Amino acid sequence: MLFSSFPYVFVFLPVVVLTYAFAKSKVGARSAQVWLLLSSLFFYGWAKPSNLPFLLGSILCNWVIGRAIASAGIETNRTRLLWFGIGANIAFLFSFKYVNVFLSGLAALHLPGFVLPDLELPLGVSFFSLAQIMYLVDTYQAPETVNSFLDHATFASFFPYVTSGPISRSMEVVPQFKTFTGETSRIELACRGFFLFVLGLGKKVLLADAFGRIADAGFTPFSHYSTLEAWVFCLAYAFEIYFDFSGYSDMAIGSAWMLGIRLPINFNAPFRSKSMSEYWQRWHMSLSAFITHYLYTPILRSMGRRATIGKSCVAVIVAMSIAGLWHGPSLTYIFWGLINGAALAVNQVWRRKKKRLPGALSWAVTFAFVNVTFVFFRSPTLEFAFHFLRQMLPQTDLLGVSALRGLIPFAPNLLWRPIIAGSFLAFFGKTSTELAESDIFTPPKAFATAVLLVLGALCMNTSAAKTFLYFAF
Amino acid sequence: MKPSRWLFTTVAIFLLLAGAGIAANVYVDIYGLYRNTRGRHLVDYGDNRIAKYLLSEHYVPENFDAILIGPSVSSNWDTHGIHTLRTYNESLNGSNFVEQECLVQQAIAAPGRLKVAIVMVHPSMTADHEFDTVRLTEELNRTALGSLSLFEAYKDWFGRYRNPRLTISDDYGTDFFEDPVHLNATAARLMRPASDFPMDPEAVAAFRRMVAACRRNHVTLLYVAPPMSPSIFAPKRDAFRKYMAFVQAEMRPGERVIDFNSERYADFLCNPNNFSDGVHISRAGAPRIVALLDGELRRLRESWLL
Repeated sequence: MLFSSFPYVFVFLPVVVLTYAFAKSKVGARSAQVWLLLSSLFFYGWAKPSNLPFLLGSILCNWVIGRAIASAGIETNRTRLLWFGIGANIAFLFSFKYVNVFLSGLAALHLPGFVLPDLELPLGVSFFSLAQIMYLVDTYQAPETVNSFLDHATFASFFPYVTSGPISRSMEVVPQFKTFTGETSRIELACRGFFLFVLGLGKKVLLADAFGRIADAGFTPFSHYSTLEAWVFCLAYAFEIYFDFSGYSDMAIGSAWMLGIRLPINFNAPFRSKSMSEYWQRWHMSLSAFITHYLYTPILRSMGRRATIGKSCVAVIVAMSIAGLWHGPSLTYIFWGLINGAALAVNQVWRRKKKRLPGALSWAVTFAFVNVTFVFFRSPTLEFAFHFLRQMLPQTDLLGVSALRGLIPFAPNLLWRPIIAGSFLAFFGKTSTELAESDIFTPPKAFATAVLLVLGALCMNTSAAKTFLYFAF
Repeated sequence: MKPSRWLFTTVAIFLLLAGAGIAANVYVDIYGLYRNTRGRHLVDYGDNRIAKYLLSEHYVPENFDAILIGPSVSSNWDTHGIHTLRTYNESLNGSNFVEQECLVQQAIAAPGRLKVAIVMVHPSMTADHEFDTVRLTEELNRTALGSLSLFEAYKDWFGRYRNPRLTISDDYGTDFFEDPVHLNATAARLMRPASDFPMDPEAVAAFRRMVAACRRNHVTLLYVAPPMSPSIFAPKRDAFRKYMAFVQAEMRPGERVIDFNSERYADFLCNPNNFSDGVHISRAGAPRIVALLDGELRRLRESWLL
């Protein structure tokens, strides 16, 4: 079920939130949690019920392994169990991501009687597998945080993040199923969640989908563009993925807030960053945190006691390449991870040298580089990516607009409205989370929220909703 | 403002705005979905794929005897000129049989007066199976209650209200596009020297489903090969012959085909003013071809073949 669909916005979410609030206040926290678990499983199985066994299997296995880690007396056994658990999750994840590639290779050999099995990627497998790994590591480090089965099942299947994050830690989420904590009242958090959800919906259906149409028109095979056009299409994709994923994250966090549960924020105006390390502290923050704590740090530690700048650079390149690999079985993703890792390594060396660039220049360099990385992320092959990048470099046809002209007669509003609104939101003003935490309880903001929801509904009603980009991972 | 009051106010404003919008759209009923359409003159404003799909639900079957199915080749044929049968032009620019099947299924599903389907026999209709701007499904009915496409339709409507001479489409489904000077990329690809045309199996299957549905609903099928400039037709004569043979193999006894590229229509074919880019009929030629088609329909009707 898409967050930006009528069944979710106007039926599923209101029913789940109202019933959960009623059950929690009248029946008890445990019954409310059971309702949440059932709702999450229904949400997950909505599109393809045959995916449910994979999620349930993952929940059961990790719960059993977590229990075993917590109860194992000897340190060696605990470590072995942890590595077994991590290995099992990675094998589970990679069997869906990479076995298909291997089998497709076999199918290409035309072996007699060989039929390619359907190993379609279960929705959210990349995200819930990482959450399970985090749970096992946390249980290893603090055995007292081990979950009951109900807690673990509710945590792992929680519908706001099960499909695409934010990747959350069990020890931060599970206690919130039982007691509401925080400085605000439950109703206030729910209202702020509703506000954030509507902002996210607007980002997705008003901006991301519009940018997506421009980007889709640009990233087509055998394309020949002027430098200006190549940059326009590249920027369109950068804005598409930003508004798509941050919009999705806002809707996920907003949905959770409506249930009285706080989740980690995932985006903090990343396109305003002035360095690559700042960018990765602002972009897909829950994945960045995972990479830092569960990949980069262990890799660095494995290189010896004394951390040097060289070791740190190698660790960050390896960690980011693994992150690229996590996105899918394509050289473009691996290359994307590799160049991000290389850029972070250069950034570390630069910082060590204590050299400074003017703010505007460092922003421009960072933003341009981020766009280059997105070319690899969006391109179907490395060859296509390099072809596209060559067109982004100054060439004979510098400012031609013939390809854009082909797009403009069909969609003039499609181009200018999102570009103006998107540029403003990405580079200036408060972020959606800051807005949701500001003083929203005024009549103008109530009116603005209602109008935005009406506009969102109009867009949702215009065509079949485009799926979220990160559903592919 | 208390949070609960804020939430109540927001939801109330949303319901008020959404409710008012829906009520206004149902009242205007631009696609004839909510009120009796008999005698109304509804134009395919906005995205004409969405518009024609929705108009085909009630407006077309309740007001027309025949539909004309085809690509851009026939979309500028003003069917007001067909007097034998009141004919709605369902042609869509760049369309294929997958898209046209949706329109036809929609038009014949509702009870009405539809008796004849005039099907353009053009290779572009079976060359691919992709939907162009939007998938034509029942979900589109929702868009008539409020959507960006409906907003675009109102903009078209308002534009025409302010400037009545700005005619881009009419209540018979005609698309009055500017005469193209050069072949577009798709047509050029299709007309490249080769002894046959690309055939997409999914488009062919849609064609078969479409004609089967017409037969089931007692809608008579009449196939029409649209005229083409001899300079474009001649190098592809073999390919067109094969294509016509494919269509004829699909026909049932009693079904007729009119081939406007035959000798019989030499006068029309030899006049270069009748063609714009060689594939499309010019604005000047459109009334002439419609008159010829009307003559053929009259002859068939008089012979009790229609």
